[in-house]
Amino acid sequence: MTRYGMVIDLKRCYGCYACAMACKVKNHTPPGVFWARVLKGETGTFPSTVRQALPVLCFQCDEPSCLTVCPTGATIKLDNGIVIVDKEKCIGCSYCKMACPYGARYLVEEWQSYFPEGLPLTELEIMQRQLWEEKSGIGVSTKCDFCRDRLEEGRDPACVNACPANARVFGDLDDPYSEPSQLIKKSRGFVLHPELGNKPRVYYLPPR
Amino acid sequence: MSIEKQRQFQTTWGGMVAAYLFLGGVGAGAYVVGAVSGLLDQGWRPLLHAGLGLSFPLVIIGLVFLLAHLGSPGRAFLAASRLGSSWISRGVVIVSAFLALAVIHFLGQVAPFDYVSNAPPDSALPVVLSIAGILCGLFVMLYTGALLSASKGYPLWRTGVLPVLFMVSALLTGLLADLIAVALADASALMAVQYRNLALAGAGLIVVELLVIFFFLHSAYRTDDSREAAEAMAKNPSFIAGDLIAGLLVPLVIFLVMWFGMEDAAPKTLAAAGAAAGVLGLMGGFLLRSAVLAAGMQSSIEAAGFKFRTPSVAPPREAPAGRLPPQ
Amino acid sequence: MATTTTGTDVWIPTCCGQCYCMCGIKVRVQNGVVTEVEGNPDAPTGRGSICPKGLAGPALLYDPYRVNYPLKRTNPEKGLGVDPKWKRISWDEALDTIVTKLKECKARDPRGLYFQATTTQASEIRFGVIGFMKGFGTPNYWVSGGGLHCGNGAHFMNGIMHMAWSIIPDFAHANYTMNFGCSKGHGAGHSAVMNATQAADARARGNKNIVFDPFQSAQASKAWEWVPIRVGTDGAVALGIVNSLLNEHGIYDAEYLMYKTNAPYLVRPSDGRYKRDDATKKPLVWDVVDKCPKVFDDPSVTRVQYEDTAHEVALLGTFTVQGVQGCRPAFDLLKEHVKKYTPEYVEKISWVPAATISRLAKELGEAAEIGATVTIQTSMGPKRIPKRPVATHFFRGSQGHVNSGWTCLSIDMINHVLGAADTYGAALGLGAAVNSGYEGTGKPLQKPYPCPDGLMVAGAWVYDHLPYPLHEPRPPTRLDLHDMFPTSIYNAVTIMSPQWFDLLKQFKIPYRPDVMINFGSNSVMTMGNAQVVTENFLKKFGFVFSFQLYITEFEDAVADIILPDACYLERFTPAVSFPSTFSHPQGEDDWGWTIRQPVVKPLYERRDFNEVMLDICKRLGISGKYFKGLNDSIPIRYGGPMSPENKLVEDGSVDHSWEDICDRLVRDRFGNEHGLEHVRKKGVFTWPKKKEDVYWKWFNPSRVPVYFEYFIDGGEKITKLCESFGAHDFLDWSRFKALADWYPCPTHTEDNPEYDMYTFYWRAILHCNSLTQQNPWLDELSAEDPYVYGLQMHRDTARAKGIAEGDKVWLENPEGNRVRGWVTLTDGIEPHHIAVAAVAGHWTDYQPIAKDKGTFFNDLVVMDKAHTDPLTLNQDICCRVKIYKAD
Repeated sequence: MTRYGMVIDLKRCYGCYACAMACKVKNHTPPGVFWARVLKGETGTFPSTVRQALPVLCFQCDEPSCLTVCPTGATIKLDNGIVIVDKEKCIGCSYCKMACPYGARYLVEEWQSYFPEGLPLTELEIMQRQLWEEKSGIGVSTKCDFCRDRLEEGRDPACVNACPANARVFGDLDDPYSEPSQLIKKSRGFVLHPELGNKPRVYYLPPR
Repeated sequence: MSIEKQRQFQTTWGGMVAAYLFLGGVGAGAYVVGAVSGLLDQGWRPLLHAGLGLSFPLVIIGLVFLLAHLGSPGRAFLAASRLGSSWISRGVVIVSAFLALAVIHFLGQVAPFDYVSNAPPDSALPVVLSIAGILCGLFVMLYTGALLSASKGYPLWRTGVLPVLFMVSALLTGLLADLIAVALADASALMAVQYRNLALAGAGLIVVELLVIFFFLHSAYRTDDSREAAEAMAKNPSFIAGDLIAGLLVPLVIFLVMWFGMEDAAPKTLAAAGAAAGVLGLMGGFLLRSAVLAAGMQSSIEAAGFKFRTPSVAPPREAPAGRLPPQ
Repeated sequence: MATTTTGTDVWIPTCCGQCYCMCGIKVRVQNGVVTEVEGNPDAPTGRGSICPKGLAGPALLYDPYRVNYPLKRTNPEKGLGVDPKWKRISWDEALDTIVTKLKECKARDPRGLYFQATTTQASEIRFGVIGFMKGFGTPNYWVSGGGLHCGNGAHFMNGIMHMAWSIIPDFAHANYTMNFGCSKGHGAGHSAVMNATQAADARARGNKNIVFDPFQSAQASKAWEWVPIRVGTDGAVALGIVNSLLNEHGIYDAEYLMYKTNAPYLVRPSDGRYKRDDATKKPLVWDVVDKCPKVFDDPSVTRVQYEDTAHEVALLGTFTVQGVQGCRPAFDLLKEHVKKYTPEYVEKISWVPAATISRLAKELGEAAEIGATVTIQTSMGPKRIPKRPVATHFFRGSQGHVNSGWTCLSIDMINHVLGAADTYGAALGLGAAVNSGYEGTGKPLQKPYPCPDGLMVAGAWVYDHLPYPLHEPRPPTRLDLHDMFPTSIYNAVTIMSPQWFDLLKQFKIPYRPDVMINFGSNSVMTMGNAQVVTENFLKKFGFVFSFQLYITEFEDAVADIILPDACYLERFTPAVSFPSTFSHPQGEDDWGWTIRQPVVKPLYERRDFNEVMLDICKRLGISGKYFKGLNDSIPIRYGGPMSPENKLVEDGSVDHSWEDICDRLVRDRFGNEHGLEHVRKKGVFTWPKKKEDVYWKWFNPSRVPVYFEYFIDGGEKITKLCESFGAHDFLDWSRFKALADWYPCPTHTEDNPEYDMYTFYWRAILHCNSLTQQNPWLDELSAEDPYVYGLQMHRDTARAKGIAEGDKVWLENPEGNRVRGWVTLTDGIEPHHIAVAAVAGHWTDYQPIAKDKGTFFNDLVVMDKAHTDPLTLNQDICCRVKIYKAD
């Protein structure tokens, strides 16, 4: 059984935000919602300072704390490893959002335009609003689902596809010979907050 | 926004949730204090009635706040689906059980039912009911804290001290709520000595709560993230002025004066003093929940020698509309 | 995607237009609405990847603040802060007014027409702008900002040395690279996405990139080593490295210098010019084997291909040649010249430790593997060529100074000393210089060829005038005196001067500015101080009309009519990766000729710039001349003349539509079966690239200069010309000389201690020029980023000045101009510097998303002689400022 996962090579990543934007454009996320996000860090004192970007998304954990706390069973772990939200079951308590140590969940209470209030919605916004409401929903928890719809079409998630640095490698982590599995093994792959025991399915390769 | 400003204090759980946590705690506390007093001696009946009378509506109002917080309240009935792991599901059961017991207990005290107040002297019903209700009430209090401490994303909350803190605060605010109710309904229903005993109990609870708060903040020095969050909470003016000073220290002084300095005061005077302390204390209890929620700072992420923080989500767009080109 | 929308759902391949990088994209159109963008895997520029700006295209297309109808100014007053009181008018009214004004201008003097354009739409401007100028009869044109902030030194020098618009390491094979103030490979620069992929691959492979930058830029953050440097001193460091290589470590590629440069050319001591052969007048070299001078192209001393054999020629020494004593090879002079750039001297200038310079030079020199070769498969069979896996490169950051030309040359000189130019692993032209053309047609064909002195002449270029040979200084005809200067590139020093009209008088320009056409540029914000640009330059035009996407600060200040332009998603452009060497595919991947095609019809009453220009020409009755102008401009820019059957009809008898023009150009390059309709299917026409096109150095007979003998001539001529007009101290023409030097910026000589901070601007990946600031999606991510909207300042410096994180401050330059911003503290900046991102700080109410975001750096930029590079007329864009809190 294919169980998806991702490797993000921090050596390749130069923090351009293409992943965040690709996600936004593909999933039509409203203002303030970043299923894929880029965090920026800085360490060291001048002149030994270094900056680094850390692209994050839902890590589709094998022990997802969002699922543990979900009171309704709306959060579901699929056999292919992806964690999804059944928007028909979600009551919008945001407990999952509080439980996720990676900040991957977003709840939109009211769909908002990017433009100042009072303007009629643009053609694009009308379509985006409709797509958001149909696919993700208002008043329910939303999150990255590795672009499940694209996977069904045999395409990589939008963030993987866009990355100019090819920093993201997507594939079957259950297959020890898949590219991501090999990268994790060979290049000291690590996960974030391993001590919390969430067992993320997104690994990082060190920046240096 | 520069790196150091990138601390995300959650706003997802705000006033509505704080109100729910507070009212759930007060309701359960009011019941527990009333029921415990009811087990002591018949002289505490007014307090028992206050506790039983308050618990149900307070918790229900709390639930209304909770429902108002939900993104999709229409489906709230699904919330008990995962008792095995979700504190919300568990809470639904605990709170339901508590509400049921509270109602049964309350109705048994009032005409035309009277099955508790008129139970035969050898009947175990009042005691059994009280003990069951007290246990459920304690669970409700603990659960409001456990709900938060199970949130992995917020290191400040991830401590067993939080349920204890919320329980102590719930008992105190429950006592205060009962005290206010008695004072308003019939201040002379309790004797002066009873008021002064309540003041002593209240003072004791305040001291315990202050200690637990100290312990809660102090224990937050375990990680950078929780320490920063705790510091933010300790610097929160509404927490300092509203809870620590007005909500705890001032009532403590009032209670100590009631105990030590008002030996000859009339019950009404004592009731008024107690009610004043009560109002302040209740406000403090709400502000404590608010402060704990407001100090919820999402865990930072350490990777490869860097520390990353999730920047605050940009505030809702309030860009001035500017001017559209003539259409 | 699961969607209940009924109707069509298609992906249309086209080319991005959010910046000048020309990456292939695919655009999703659902039910007639553009919803998504992704990279086009068929396009070698990007291969399916795309940057955040490109992805954010739909927000530009549907922005409610776009101009959708022609507008006219109803308030006759012009200037900053004036409300133009825009009023909607019909296209007919707009064009009637414009054509009337143009006719009046033509009657007065057509040269009074000034065309101003943006670099963002770099491929569109090659048609409507160039053709119209030729058709109308005006020589006056410039791209605002772009040219003077990022181009004059860089493109000029890269043209001379690589026949390319820019240079970049051969990321696929380079092991050690040096980056001087540029983000190529890290989000910007031509063909940016493709280069970012290649640079990431290089990092993963273990490439060591050394980045000289005053702050922790994206590239510095990914560097093997970040070397903080004082702004504007890159040229000194580069010369320090050349000196260290030549005189400290003794590392240089003699083979390359002997046969691929003018390093062996003998220079006579009297005047620094070549010792030419008495009979042939050709430059001479000294044959070490035959121990005699020979003309440089004598077969016994030339090697075109690496496997050719030839006698060694002298690089060092003093020779008596044809009776002239003391002749020395150019290289000998170079080696001696750079001796003054000792590591210690350079440290004083650049604040880079002497030991670091010396060490880096050694590491670079050793990594060059001089002598190593590699065999590549060419169309002529396997060929051995040098492998030089090192490269230095640069762009706006290092070139945006008064020493622009020499700085660019000095940095590239490192490559040439090491033989690391246009060969395997080395610094390559970007976009690629040599193109053998598509097998079926032989077009586009572009390759360099040697001049009579053996030096490389560009076989194709972005402009009519080539980087080499120098433009012959002659009495100027242009309003910016452009055609007087030897390097003949844009300048601001003339047109922005308060004495502009005096200059025109002095240089006997018989006409004055009259009508300005603006295409997409916001020059009020992109040049320098807005007040200066507006008052000294823009307000001198009697009538200004502008093709624009938004109402910008430019239109608010001076435009009389705004025409609602179609954006890149609403129009055809037949050649996007071209012209010439602009934003080509790089490296060994296929060639790709990308087109733009409308993914939706222009919304509202928007019309494509090129369509409207055709319309204007028709109304003016100059269509034929316009078509001739295009015919004339195509060969140099698009790799060869049009075949007779595809040539546009020049007598005005045929009304070529824009689509027809696009189709003809594409068909002419790729054959009748590969016209516009064919290319539309994939959005790009690709064909295999020959290895000898990628690594062309050792397949081409031309040489490049390490000694700029011809500059001496240029300097003498321009001095004489200026003097003939009585302009004795116009600029310091003594900088036209044969060998590079470093000259300080005004910031380096500012002696008022009050102005103690150096400030410069940097290119944020999320933005390009001044266009993208209004994009709400890009704005949102900019606000997420710790640096994009803030003024980066070292935390210790800030503390000493009592400035805290987030404080609102003013930056004020010695001229008294000041800009506002807020401080973001960091350790990642040299403590004497303040870094400002992008062309930000818009103020027009018509762009509410962009308004008040970031800082308007350019308001601090001074456009005078002291800030102008005499060699290339580039403008200095670093500033000294004092910083203080704003209330």
